[in-house]
Amino acid sequence: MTRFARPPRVARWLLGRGLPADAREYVIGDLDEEYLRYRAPAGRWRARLWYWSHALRSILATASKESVMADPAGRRRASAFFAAVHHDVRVALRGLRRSPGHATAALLTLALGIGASVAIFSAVNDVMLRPLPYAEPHRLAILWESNQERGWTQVEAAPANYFDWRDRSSAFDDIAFVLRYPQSVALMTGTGPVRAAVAQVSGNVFSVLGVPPHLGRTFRDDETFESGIAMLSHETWQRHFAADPAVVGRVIRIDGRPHEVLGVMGSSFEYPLTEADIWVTPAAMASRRESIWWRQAHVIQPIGRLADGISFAQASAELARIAAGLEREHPNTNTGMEAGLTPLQTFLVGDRRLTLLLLLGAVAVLQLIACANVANLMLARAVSRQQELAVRTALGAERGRLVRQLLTESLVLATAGTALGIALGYAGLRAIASLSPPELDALAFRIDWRLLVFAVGICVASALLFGSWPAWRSARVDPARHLADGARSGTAGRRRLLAAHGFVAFEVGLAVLLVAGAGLMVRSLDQLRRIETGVDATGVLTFEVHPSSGAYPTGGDRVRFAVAFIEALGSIPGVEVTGAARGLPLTGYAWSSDFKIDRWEPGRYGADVRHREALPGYFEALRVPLLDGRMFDDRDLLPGSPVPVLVNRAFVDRYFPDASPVGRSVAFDREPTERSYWYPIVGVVANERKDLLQEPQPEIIGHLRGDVPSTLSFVVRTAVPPRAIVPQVRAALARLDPEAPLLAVRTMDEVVAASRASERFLMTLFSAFAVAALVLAAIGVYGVATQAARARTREVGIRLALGAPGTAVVRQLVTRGALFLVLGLTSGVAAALGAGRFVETLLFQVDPGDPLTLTLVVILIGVVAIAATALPAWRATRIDPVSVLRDG
Amino acid sequence: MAPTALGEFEQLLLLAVLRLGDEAYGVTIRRAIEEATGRRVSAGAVYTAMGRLESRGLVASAPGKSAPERTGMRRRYYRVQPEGARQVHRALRHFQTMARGLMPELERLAGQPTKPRP
Repeated sequence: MTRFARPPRVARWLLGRGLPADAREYVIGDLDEEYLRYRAPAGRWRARLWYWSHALRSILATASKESVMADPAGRRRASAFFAAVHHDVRVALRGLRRSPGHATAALLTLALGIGASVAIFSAVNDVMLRPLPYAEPHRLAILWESNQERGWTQVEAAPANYFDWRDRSSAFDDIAFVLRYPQSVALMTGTGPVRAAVAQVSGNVFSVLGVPPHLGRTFRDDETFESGIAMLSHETWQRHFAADPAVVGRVIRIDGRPHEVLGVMGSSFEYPLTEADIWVTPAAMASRRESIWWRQAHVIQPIGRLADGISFAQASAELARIAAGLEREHPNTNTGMEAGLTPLQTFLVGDRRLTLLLLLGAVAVLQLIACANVANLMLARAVSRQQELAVRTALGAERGRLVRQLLTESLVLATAGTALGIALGYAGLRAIASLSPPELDALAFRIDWRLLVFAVGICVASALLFGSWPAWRSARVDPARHLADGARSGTAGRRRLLAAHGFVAFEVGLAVLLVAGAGLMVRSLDQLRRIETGVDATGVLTFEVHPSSGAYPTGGDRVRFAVAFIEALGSIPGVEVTGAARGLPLTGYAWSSDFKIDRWEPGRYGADVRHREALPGYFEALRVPLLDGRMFDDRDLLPGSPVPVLVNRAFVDRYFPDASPVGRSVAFDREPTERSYWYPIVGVVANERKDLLQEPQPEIIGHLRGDVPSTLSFVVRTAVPPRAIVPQVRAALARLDPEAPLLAVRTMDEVVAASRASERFLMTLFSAFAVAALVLAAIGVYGVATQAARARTREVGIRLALGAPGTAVVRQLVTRGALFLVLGLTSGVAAALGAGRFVETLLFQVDPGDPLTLTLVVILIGVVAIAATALPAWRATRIDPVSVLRDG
Repeated sequence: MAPTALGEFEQLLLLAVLRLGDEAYGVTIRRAIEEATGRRVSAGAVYTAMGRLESRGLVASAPGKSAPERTGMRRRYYRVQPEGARQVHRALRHFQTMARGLMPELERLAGQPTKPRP
């Protein structure tokens, strides 16, 4: 039974509270009964929606006709309460209408803060809080292996280990697996080949997740190594098969091979971690079951469902015991290999957790600034209302009643601000989503009860934050004095100004915090830009091709395809040089294995070196220079010639610090046998980064002939803008392989930019928040300075009349505010230093306490704040002293 | 209690209870009315209106058995009392009398054939 089998808990709780006692049992029972009947045909979300609407309408129906109306006393009480609220709201609205400037300023300020908060919370909700759409998701875990010797943490598992875990453990109901990574393949449709992402999954994966198919059936456990069967995603079914239910049982062509469609998954189904349009079984793996590869290739990601009553800790302990046993049984492959698990939700949130919490913290700070600003606006307005409040007090209004009235005004303001903020948040999140990196994908603005609770909560909290102090302060009026002298009270004004200055200092401090954060991000991104990637990215087009296995079944065929395609591309005008490889720089794509160099003493080996394959044009196109020896050339393509390899600079530095490796040979085995293949090292190339944040690692680059990947990455250096040649590239590909689509077309510049995408994303968001914080703080400072200057109009007039120069008066007015400014700046810097450790892991080669950044931030905010103080002070000196003295 | 005229909703309720016989409780009554009229009716509205009818002596009710699909909550079954039957009968007779012979004219004015309800 899934959690959705039960009616929505919150609605049910509301019913328990909202219904009259005699109706409760029967009405709830009716709703529950219908919900369960409705759920299967309508889907759980529609059923929940149905339940909610009926619950609310039932409460209203019984409330209006039963409890309140039937009982005259209750009716009077209720109506008196509603009348009072109604009155307060009406008075509040009238008050706000009377000072539209003040109301608009407060509203926009609040909407800005709340909008940012709601947008970010919606992202947090989406990634971290919403339950996963699987049956009892809290029992699912990702299983992994770690190996300290190899420097592996929580990597994919080897198939043989997975099968042993599954056989030997009792802590799991079942364990399924998915083959990392999904492949791009050609799916034949009525209108030609399209690109589709295919994930290879074990037969039991859908039953482990507990998700039934929309149509047909899912794979069975015993079908893991069956070939020629497939499941379609809902989207693929709709887009490419016209949502035809008859697709079940039909044979479709995936990558040139026939597959029978067993079923279609529902629209809400999404496999965690690996997006796929089509699921197939890893049939090809079966042939390698007896080879050492089975226990060596860490290519599968197991996902397990805990047995009932078993905790993650128990399962983890059992897994560790089994792994220790395997280590003893298979020392060759499993030495140092540990196993463990991570709850699925934690695993999925992963690195995003920190980013999202940081953003949430940032918007909370922004919201506090907004609240401080609005509190100041309310305080300022209280001055103009002192007369009114004094009259009301004199007429017998209790202080509590006045406070309630003023708080209602705050609440009305906050409600309007929240409504506007949600609209802003929606727009904001769409903007954010358009620039978010793939790691933070699916930033969707979905309204659910958590988001609503958050919005209502932030609305009420804000109203109290910015409303209670001003309300309390201004409700304490002394009618005798105010009514007697027609209000202009020096002392009360001074105390109010003190509070206003306090709010401003608080705001300035928070602004320092946000702007410092943004400053650090900017510096960090700048450091990332300075990293030497090792490739010349400008003017290079990249794309992937997956030659169809129908036309090019073997590795040799794919090499011939690559060579022919490169030649065809060479005849396109504007193309200078083309190369092909397994994977692109900066995309983190890497295989690794142990190796041995010939003539090394027995027992010596190199651990876990990265290796990949390329054709010579690859280095020329990316302008990676040859440092020693020779490049691959035509003779390397001759059948029967040895397959050469190149090594990179980092490899030479690590393993051949004194001599040249050219002329030596390498075997990809820890202990080579007669069957090992020795690859001659023919040259040394410069380093290039596989991963932007990692120093170049030792690498062996083999000739593509040695091991041909099924998906080839091409790099084309052009003399024209790279994208201009895409149509000709497409045409050339269609001539060679009509079933292969052109995939992942990007310029190399875009590839480089994508490697910095998450840093740029954070930097952009933080900068936006920082600018907003700065503007709000400046408005706050300006507002208070204006009040302060106005309060001193008389004094200024007298001094000017006595001959004081205007600049001296301005200086004095600014100096008075400066104390609070310094207070704000210092506390802001202290807060920024304290918060530094939260951002530390997100920064690249920048110290969170970076003195330069902090100094610049303090100067920036100081200058803005002084300008905002000086402007009203300067305006105060423009007055005509005579008129002031006469009127005063 | 002085007989008050039955409202349209109350007539529908009484007819639904009559039609459902032994199976007349919140869910079935609500569904019968929704299916016949296409009008959205909430469980709470059915319950309150039935309570009103009961207080006027037009229906009687008794709690029935609970069921697991009702999360253990009991049902309340309704039966039409003689006075209820009299009132709904009277109301319908008035309608029939007034409508006699008017259907063709009504259909012409409404611009569409009126379908008999199932």
